[in-house]
Formats: sequence, C-alpha cells, structure tokens
Amino acid sequence: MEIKSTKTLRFALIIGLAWMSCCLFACKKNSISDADYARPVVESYLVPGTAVQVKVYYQKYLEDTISYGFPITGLKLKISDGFSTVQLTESKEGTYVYTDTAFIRAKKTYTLNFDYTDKVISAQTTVPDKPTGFKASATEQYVPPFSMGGTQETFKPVTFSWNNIASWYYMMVLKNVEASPTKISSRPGNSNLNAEASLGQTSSWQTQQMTFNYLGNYKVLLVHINKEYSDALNNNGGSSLNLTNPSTNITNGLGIFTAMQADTLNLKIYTSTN
Amino acid sequence: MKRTILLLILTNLFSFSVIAQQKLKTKAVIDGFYTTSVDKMLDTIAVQCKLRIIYDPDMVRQYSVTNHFFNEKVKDVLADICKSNGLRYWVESDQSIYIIRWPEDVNRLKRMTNSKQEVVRIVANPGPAKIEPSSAVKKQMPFTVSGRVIDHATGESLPSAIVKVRYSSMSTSTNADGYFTLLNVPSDTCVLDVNYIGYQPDVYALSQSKSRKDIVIGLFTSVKSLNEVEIKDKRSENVMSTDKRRVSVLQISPSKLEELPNIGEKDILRSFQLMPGISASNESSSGAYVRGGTPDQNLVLFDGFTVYQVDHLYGFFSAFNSNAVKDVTLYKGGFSAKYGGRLSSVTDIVGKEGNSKETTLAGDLSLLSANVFLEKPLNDKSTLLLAYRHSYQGPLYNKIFNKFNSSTTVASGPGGNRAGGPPGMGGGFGGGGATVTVPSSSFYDLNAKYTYAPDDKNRFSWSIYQGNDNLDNSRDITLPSFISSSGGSISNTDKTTYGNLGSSLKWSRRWNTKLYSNTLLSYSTYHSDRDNSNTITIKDANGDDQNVSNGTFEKNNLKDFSLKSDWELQLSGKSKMLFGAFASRQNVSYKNSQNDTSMLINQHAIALTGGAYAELELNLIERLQIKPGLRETYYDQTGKLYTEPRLSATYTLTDRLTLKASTGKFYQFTNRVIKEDILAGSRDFWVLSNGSTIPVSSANHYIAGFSYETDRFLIDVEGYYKKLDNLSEYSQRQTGRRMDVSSLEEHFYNGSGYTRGVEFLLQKTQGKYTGWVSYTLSKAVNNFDVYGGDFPASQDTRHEFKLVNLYRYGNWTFSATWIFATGKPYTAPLTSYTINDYAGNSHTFLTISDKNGERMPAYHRLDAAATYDLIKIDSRKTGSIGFSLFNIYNRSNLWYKQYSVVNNQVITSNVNYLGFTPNITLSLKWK
Repeated sequence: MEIKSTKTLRFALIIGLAWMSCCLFACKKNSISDADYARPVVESYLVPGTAVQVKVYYQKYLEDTISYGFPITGLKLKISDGFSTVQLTESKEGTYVYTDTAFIRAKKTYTLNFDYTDKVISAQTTVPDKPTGFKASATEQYVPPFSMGGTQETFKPVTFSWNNIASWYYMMVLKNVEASPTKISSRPGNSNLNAEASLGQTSSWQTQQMTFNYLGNYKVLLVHINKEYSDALNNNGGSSLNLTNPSTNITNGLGIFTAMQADTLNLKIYTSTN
Repeated sequence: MKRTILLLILTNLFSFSVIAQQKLKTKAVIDGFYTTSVDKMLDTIAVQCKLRIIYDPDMVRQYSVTNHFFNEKVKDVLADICKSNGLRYWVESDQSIYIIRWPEDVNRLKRMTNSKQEVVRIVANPGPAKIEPSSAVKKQMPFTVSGRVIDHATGESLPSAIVKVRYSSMSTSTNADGYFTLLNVPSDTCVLDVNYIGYQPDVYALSQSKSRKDIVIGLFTSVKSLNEVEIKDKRSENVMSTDKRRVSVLQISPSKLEELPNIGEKDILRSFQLMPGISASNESSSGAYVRGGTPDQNLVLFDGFTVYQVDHLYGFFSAFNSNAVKDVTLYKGGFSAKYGGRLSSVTDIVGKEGNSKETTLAGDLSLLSANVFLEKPLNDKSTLLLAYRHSYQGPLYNKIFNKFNSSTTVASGPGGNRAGGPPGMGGGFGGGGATVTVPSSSFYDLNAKYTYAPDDKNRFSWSIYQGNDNLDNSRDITLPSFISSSGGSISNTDKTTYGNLGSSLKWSRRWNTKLYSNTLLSYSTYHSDRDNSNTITIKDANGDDQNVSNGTFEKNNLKDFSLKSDWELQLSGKSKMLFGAFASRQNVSYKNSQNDTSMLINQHAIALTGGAYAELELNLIERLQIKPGLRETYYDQTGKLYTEPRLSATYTLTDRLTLKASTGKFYQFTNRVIKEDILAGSRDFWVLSNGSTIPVSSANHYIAGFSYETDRFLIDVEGYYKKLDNLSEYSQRQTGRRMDVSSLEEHFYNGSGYTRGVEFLLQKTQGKYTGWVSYTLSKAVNNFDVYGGDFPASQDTRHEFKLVNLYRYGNWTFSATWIFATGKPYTAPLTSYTINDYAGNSHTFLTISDKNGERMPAYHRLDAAATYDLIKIDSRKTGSIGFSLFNIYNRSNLWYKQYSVVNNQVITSNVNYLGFTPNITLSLKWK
C-alpha cells in the first residue's frame, strides 16, 4: 500500500510538473494590431470668420519620444456645409487649409470627409450660437505678490457672467496680447502664455490667484463650445489604473473636429512691485 | 531502523524520568476492598477518578489485585498495583495514564490507541467500566445520545467536530457550542468515534448508565511527539481539511497554521488561498477570491457578526488574530440557507472562549508584529479571553508600506493627464534646509471575549473585536527662516485610517436534547477615512496663524446593527431542521470633498433588512443526505421580498466514494466598490444597493463533485458554474481642469457575468509527509454593455496550481508551497496621440485596449518554512520558533503597470509584488 501510494503521488507530481511547464510556455505575448495604430488623429476648430485649418497626424507608439505624431500628408480632405463641398489644400505637411474666411458661418453644420487606408474618415459639427450677456465685474485684476510666511494680501477676484438658459457648454480662453509678456512671479510651474478652462454648463466664472501667469493685457474669450469638445479635451482617463478610451467625434479616427463661437472682453493684470 | 532505536532510547529516558518526576494531578482517592483482575481494577479507578487509563488487556489479564484501600491516593494505588505485578505506569502531559511493562510500551500503546485496535482498552473520562466492541451489540430500543465535545486541556468547546457511531452510517457534527445529538442510536454499547481537525481522534464507549445523560468528550490536541505513531484516522493531523460529507466546505485548524510558510503572520484567510477554488495570486488582498468571485462577495462572520474590513496594511495581512480563533470554516459555494447576503462564499470564524481550567499567557513575536494572548477562568462558570496584536515599523512593515508610498510621483504633463503616481506628494518637498518629520503608521487588533455558562443549558458570551489601520505618509515641513522671516509651515497630510469595531452578545440555550437555539445581538461598524491634503500655515500681519487647506477628503462609514436567532431541531434520527430569523439595519455614508469646503459626493443611506430561513437535513435512505432550504429576505430600499431556494445533497456510493452536489440562489444587498485607480484616494468603499443605479445583485450556483478517500489519500473534485446578475461597477471621473474647482462624476455600470471551473485536490492525509496538490481550471467573464459585451473579469485566472508539502521530523516541521497562476487580465494603453486645444496647449491621450484585453505574465512563487516546536520533557508544547522564506527564488510577480504622461511622452513602469522576504516568528506559552 505504501509503495503504491508513493507511486501514485509521484505520478501526480510528474503530471503536475508536465502540465505546469506547458503552461509556462503557452503564455502568448500581445502586440498592438495595425488596426489600432491606423486610425488618424484629426485636430480642427471651426470659428466663424476665420479660415478652416485641419491637422492630421499619425498616432504615436508608447515608446515614441516625439511630442506630436508624424503628420499624414497627401490626403484629400473635403468639407461640406450641406450645400457646397470644398476641397482643402495642404499648406504644410499634415496641415490642410481652406482660406475663405466666409465659409464658416453661425448655425451651419459642417461635415469633414477623407479617405485613408481604404477607410472613410468622417466627422460632423455644428457652429453654436454666440454667447450673450457676457460681462465682467471689473476690467482690471490686481494680483498680490505671493509671499510665503509674510503678510499675505487678499486676492479680490473678477467675476465674469453670461446668459446660459439652455445649459450650453462653455470654456474660457485667456490670451495674453502683450508683445513681450512679463511673468508674474519667478516660481516654476505652468507658464503657458495662454490658457483655457472648460467651464461646463455654468453661467459665471471667477478669476483665482493662480489663474494668471503673466502681466499685462489679456483677451478673455467666453467660448460657446459643443459637448464633443468638452468630452474630448476633458478626458482624465489617462492615469494608471483608470484607463478609458478618450472621447472623439471622428468616425474611424481620433481627435476632434468641432466648431465654436466666442465673445471677448479685455482684462488687464497688474501687481505691486516689491 | 536507527531512528527507531534512537526513539526507543529517548522514550526510555523520558519514561523513567517521568515516573520519577511527573505528578499525577488528580486528588481523587480510592476506598474499599478489592479482589479482582487488574484490568477491572483499572477500569474502576478510571471511572471513579475520572481518569484516562490506557493499557493492553492481554498484558494485564494475568494479574490480579487483592487489597483494601483506605482513602488512598490514586497515585499510591496505581503504584501499589504496578509494583506488585512488575508493571509501571507513565503519566502523559495530558494526564492520560499508560500501564506498561517496558518503557517502549508507551509508544506501542499510543500506536495501538491511535489505530484503534480493539485490543487496547482506553478508559476515558467518564467512560464505562466495560467496553465491548459493537460486534457484541445487544438488541435494545434505539435511544438518544447527546453531549458536548471539548478540548480536554482547556475546556474550550469544539464546533464542527464529527461524531460517528462506529459500524454505522450515523454521524453528526457538533454545533457552534460543541453540542451534538444522535437520535436512534441502536444500542447503549455502541462506540462513538470523534474527530476534529488538529486533535487526536478519540473513541467514546457508551454505557447504559452514562448514555442517558449528557456526555462530555474531551479531545487531546495532536502533539508532534506522537509523530512516530502511525495514525490511521481521518483528517486529524492536517492543517486544512475538506469535509467529504459537505459540499464545497473547507476547514482550518488555527493551531496548525504556524507550520505553513507566511509573510509575517500566521494568516487564516491567506492559508485558504492554498486550497483549490480560492485564488492565491492576490498578494495585495488577503480577502478571498472564491471561484471567480470578489472579496466583497464573501461573507466574513466573526462570532456571528459581519466583518467588513478583513485585512490590514493595504490587504497584505488578514485582520484576524489566529491566536484568538478556534475554528474557521469556508463555504466555497452552494452554502446553507442559514447564511445569506453574499453572492459567492462564507467564511465563518469562531473565536475562542478561553481556557476554563487554567490561566494561560502566550505571546508571539515576528518581524511584523507582537502578539499577546491571555485566557483565564474567572470562576467555575465564566472565562475571559484577551488577545492583542500590534505591528511595529520593522523592515517588513516598511517594505510593504513603501510599495504603496514610494516616491514615484511624476509631474503632470501640461495636457492635464493625471499622472499615475501615488497619492500625496511625498517626494516633492524636503530641500532647502527645511525640516521634515515622518510620522509613524501601524495596525492593531484586539479580541476580547467573556463567556458565562450559568448552567448546562445556557451559555452567554460577549465578544468584542476591534481592528484598525493607521497608515500615515504625511510630511510636516517647517520652513527655514531665510524663506520666511515670521515662520510658517507646510504640512502635507496623507493619512488613511480604516478599521472595524464589532461586538456581539450571544445567548445559546439547549432547551432539551432535541432543540437548541442561538440568539445573537450584534453591532459592527466599518470606517475608512482618507485625508490627502496640504495645509499651509502662514502668519498674517497680526501674527495669527492662517491655514489654507486643499486636497481631497474621503469618508466612508458603515454601521450594522443586527439581531438574529438560529434554531436547530432534531426531528428524528433521520432528519434535522435548522430555522431562524434575522433583522439588520445598515447605515452607510460616503463623502468625498475637496478643499475643506466643496463636497463632491455626499451619499447617505439607511437600509433595513429582515427575513427568515429554514433548512431540512434529511437522511432519507442510509447513504443519501439531502438538505433543502429556503431563505426569504425583505429589503426596504427596493421594497421587495427576495426568495433564495437552496439545495445540497451527498450520496455515499461506497465507504470511500462520496458524490455531492448543490445549487441555490443568492442575493447581495451591500457592495464594496473598488476604485479603478488603487493609487488615487481610498481604494474601496461600501455602498448599499438602491434598486436603480446599484441594483440588488444575484447569483445562481450549480456545483457537482465527488470525493474519494483512502487511508492515506483524499481526492476531491468539484465543478461549478455560477451565474451572476445585476453586478455593479463604479467609476469616478474628475472633470474640469486647473482653473476651476473640479467636479466628480460618478458612473455606475451594470452588467452580468458568469464563472465556471473545475477544482482538483489530491491530499495526502497521513504520515510524516503530508500535503496536497491542487489544480483549478476556471473562467470568470463579465458582460457590461458599456464595455461592449463580454470581457474577462479582473480576477479571472485560467489555471491555478498549488503544491503544499509538509514534512515532520522530530520536533521540526518543514513546509514548502509552490503556487502558479495564469496572469490576471488588465486594460492596457496601446498608443498615444497629442493634439493642441483651442488655446494652443498640447494634450496627450492614450488609446486603450479592450476592457481587460491584455494579460499579465504568469504568477508563481515558492515559499518555505521550518518550525521547531519547543516541547517540554512531558511532551507539553510550550512554544515554537518558525523560520519562513517568502518568494525564495525572488520572482518578480507583476502587480500592475503604471503609465504616466510627461511632456507628451508615455512612461511605463512595472510595479511588482514582494520579492524574497524572510521572517522569524517566536511563540511562547506560559501557564
């Protein structure tokens, strides 16, 4: 009995080990399929009264160290407003333009179309209404110097407000229009000259101490955007274990093709010199 | 052969010294005139003095006693009998007395005792004067035997011990208080076989006088000095057992846990992971992933109350102190109607009551924690037990802590992608001569139990369990004077505290031999607080401190107040009925706020649950046992009544082969939500089903299998299919960016799923070498519309292979375990792309594979341990020293991959589980 049992056990062990080795070698390595990489990236913002510009890029592999994907050249892009269809010309590699500034008009719907690797890439957007009732509580914004440990002056925000009865989506774009802008403080950090903030479906916005990085004159644009823009640019799903596919309105592609309309106010940023 | 000689020599030494030194503790005396044979005399002494005397009838038959004793001490009487007949006696540490001629007879007797050879007479307390094998059964009216199984040394009742009438198929298991009842026992000369995991099997011979009242059977813990003994009984010495009479049930003996390799603590829940059907590749969760289920689908009961937080230190250790635990049973599926409210499984933990005979103080010290344990009889009727465990920040603690808090913070790219760094900004500060103080983190748990048994019928016990984790990764930075003339500080708080406080008041009563009740009033709270914030303190012009706080604060609270009453009724010898009622009130809140002021999520819900259940245990024909059951639950959040029919059956085809099957419907009303990003904020929190966004989830189990048992081996095979409906998945999406207060969007996704699999277990149950091989082939699939249909569940593991080896040599136990598991699925980024927003700032996005479309590499590791028992000369165990090696060949098992976007480039890094980790544990016991 003893011998038999040992044999049984030994047999079981051998079977187990054999099976394990099968398992170890059976692991398959996943690779990115070409289909994943083949979708082109589109970037285009249609604003009434400006020329049409569409950029088309390749995606990047995860190990790539380039900032932007390589431009896709030689495409035939067409944009239709429902009545007429125009062909875009390639002004530089991967950038396609239509220079007639009267083509994009309020309330019209535009469709982008082009062929790429035997697929039709398309997208559609409608120009939203211009914002109404845009006003500010002040035309100047004082930014107190930040002093750690010292006496801290209080920051008095400027409030912007507008009408938003229909719960439209808005964003705020701050453009510094100085010829040679001066930074507010020498702190390192985000030093983009222009900035934008998605505001969602709100009807007012307050400036904050950290909103401005530069001194001088700013154009404050209240932009009425489509939901597709808000969705595409506000994706936070890029973190480690919170991975979600970014939203896009490009069929068979990635990126954004959207229209918007803005109203503008001026704001001057100043600080005390100490 | 050499070993045998050595053993004989050792035994000789022991025996002689013991005869000289070992004191028989009994104070009983013998009075009267006796002229009889020695065996009859010994039987008389055993019965009168309530002693356990073991002898070989053949050896003593020839001798006789003729003497008049005048209230003489047993010790003297025995000495006299032995002396006049050329015999000796040896008193074991458990006060068993062996009548021997030569010292080596002790071993022979033990061997014979354990193999239950009929020639040995064991006269056990308070056994009969005469034992006949049941072959000589006299025809009598069937009668009822009831009693209690206890630990002989401590008086602790033993639940789930198996009591079997020899040479018949009649058997029963003891209830939570160790009570059992056998109806229609054919004769009062029957012999009962009693088995309990981790204890020596015992026999109890019935007699006419004793069988009419409650009997008490005291079992002896299995001691390693008995290892030379060939034990032919069932499942007595194993650390883990499967019950072939029950479907999908695993039982563990906490006293044997130290023999298995560990990371730092003897771990109850983690030990189950070595069995088939319970996933072993989750180092970061000591919760049970049973048959493709998640840990929150496993109901964990401690002394009857639900425990919501079952682990310590981010999941690496289970929250139960094994010193305070008597018995753990895990139901892998198809469980009884007595349990409900969870989809997958039940872990029922019974705490110790405390030694009712003498005060014991014991302690453990490992590289992770210190553990003190005290049990004390307060008086004849009550006992007290206290156990306290506290971690200290040794190298092992820090190693695990740093897994979660290492400085891998990566600055967010301008695109607004949240970097996958850990919470807090641990690494960011500290330069410029600032002083940084690092606070400490720890966990502790406390068990206390007071048991009061005023009489044979009633038992009251009050049990308290508290466990807390205080994980602190905060930094306090005092600004040096050259930055701030008037002083100030930045304090970065990153503090997680979570834990449980539970208490239960239990009243169990035996109304009569047929009716038993167990009523429990319990309170259990769970809390998890997360404070991840920065507070900047600056002095204003008046010299007053001004605090500016920002960050996230999360609070999750659950309060569970329950009342339940479980009843057991023996209807006849062939049927038993379990029934009961339960009611509970759960109060759950979850708050997520930002910057002191803005509340992002504030949920609060109170749910009332109530219901009743009934289950029949029928032995219709001798070999078939059927347990139909029904559970009804009313849940006030949905206002509906939920019906859960259950059925399980076992059929003993031959003595060795048992077929088993079970099925049932299960509902779950409380869900623990796991956040997708384990690094951001609290990892999980509990929510109540509300019938809309979080529906009441349900499951159907279908289980079938067989077990085949020989003297030395057990083969157990089970297949299962589990259909899951109304599952919820939760995700939080932060919207909005830098310049405004962001808002949190909550998304609840609903779907269904199924798991299926086959489990194989081959266990060697006897001998010096024991262990098992287990293999599980399984599949867990979820189906959520939002992810486009079927996808592998995150806990899906195709193959799992586990090899557990235990070898005993003298006072040493060596163990080695090897685990192999297919890698878990995960969602991976495939490519990235960068576009500019309207203002011209670049944003980088990742394109993602299908949900759980990729697989991690396979998980495998080898652990080993060696335990040396400190055994006194009288073979009483006083402690042990354990050396444990975790992940011996330092396999880098991948936990998760981390991605971050820096300057529009994607940085991928692998986060691994623990590498090679040694540990030493010292356990000592004082009486």
